Amino acid sequence: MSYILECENLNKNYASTPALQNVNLRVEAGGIVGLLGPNGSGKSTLIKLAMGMLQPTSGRILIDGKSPCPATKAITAYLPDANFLSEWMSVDGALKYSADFFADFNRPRAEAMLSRLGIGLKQKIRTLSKGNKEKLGLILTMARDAKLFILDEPIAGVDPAAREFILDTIMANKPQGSTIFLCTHLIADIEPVLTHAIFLNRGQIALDKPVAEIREQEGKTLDELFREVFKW
Amino acid sequence: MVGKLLKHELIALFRVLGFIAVAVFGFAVLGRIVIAINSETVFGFLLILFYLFAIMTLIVAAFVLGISQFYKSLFTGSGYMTLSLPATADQIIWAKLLSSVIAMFFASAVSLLSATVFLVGIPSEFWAEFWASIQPLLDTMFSYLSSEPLIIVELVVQFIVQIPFTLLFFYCVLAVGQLFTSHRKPITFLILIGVNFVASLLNSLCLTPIENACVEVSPHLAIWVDIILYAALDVTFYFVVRYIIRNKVNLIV
Repeated sequence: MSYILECENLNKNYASTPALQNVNLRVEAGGIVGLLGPNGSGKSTLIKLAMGMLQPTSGRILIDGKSPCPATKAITAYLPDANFLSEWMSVDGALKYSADFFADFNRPRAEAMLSRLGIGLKQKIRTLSKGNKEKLGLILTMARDAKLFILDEPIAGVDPAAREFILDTIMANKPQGSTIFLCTHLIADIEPVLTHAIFLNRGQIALDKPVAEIREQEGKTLDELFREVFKW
Repeated sequence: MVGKLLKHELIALFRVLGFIAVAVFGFAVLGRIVIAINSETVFGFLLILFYLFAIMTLIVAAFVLGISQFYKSLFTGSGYMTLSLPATADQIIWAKLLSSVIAMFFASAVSLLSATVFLVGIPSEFWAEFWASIQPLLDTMFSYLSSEPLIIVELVVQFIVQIPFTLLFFYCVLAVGQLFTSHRKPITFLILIGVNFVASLLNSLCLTPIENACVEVSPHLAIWVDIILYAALDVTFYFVVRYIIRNKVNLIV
């Protein structure tokens, strides 16, 4: 059994504030995993630890059996919950940048997705609308044939039509055998595509099960269960 | 990987520096033409001023853009892209350091070349007077260097360790400043002022007396004290920056 992501007694503190507490996880390769939780539950912290942007206070996190390092970043496509594109670049420049650093970047696929959106290669990123910048970020991420995709709030802050486009893009461009981590609190929109759900509550794992099992055992949708678990 | 990182760093820097360099040459050529026609006009005077201003802008921009690029690409939204690249912290830092050094050498080279363009055709009498005025200084210098050839090597080594010093210092201040979650810019500015103040004090109270004492013993000793100090500071700043990039990046967008 190969695990694309493993956490062993993972703890992360910011000064004296615990952000993640004793997280133990094993995520099998393949499938679409929802990393779900309210704001401040530790989702972004877990993602940044997986990307090597933070170091654990204790415990460890492994991507494809290795601690986060250049080799794990080479197989991980990450879409952050922030505008990460350089405004002065052109769309073509952004594609060249990704192609230069990531051997698995599929330029023809990226160009096809851009063409469907009507985004020209010569356009400067600063001239794109907010929605199109987000879509460009998604395209640059999903144009890779990565083993692991980590998408942090990919559908937050966009209209329902754009959400549908984003989810369609994710599903249509998911390489065979790869794993997608969808980190969000908009459960109802992504529930149809999820195969596995992880609930994170105040830095601790509250649930870690296949979605089908949740529906069978709990007799509820993921959205209903989420509202119950995270009721104020 | 450093090559790829360096390529993109240089693209980011030279998209601005290139324009300024063109302006510098443009003013140099225009200034030369105007001086050749009639140097004593307001227009000619203004052109010379603009030319000098363009050179200063180029040199300052080369330094400031390098520092700004370091901060933006690591500690703002673009940091998500940079830190998710399959590159180590060392590779990232080296690429940024090398690109900034190249930019500063470029600025110096453009300034010198443009000055050559500007001074083309100046009457030979001017140059004769100029060389005559600096000849004694040059003679003293060459005479001393030929009696102490090792000094040349030592000065080259000193130059090499001093080149990255200011860049690494600013990288370090920016890296430490971003550790704070709020009021980053004022805190970073205060750190900069504070460290500069302490450095000035240490320089006046410790380093200068030590160097003066060393010179009494041997000029070589004074140079080596300088080399060791700057090398130690370079290494210290580098490893502080490296540690922060690897462990403590605080991406707040």
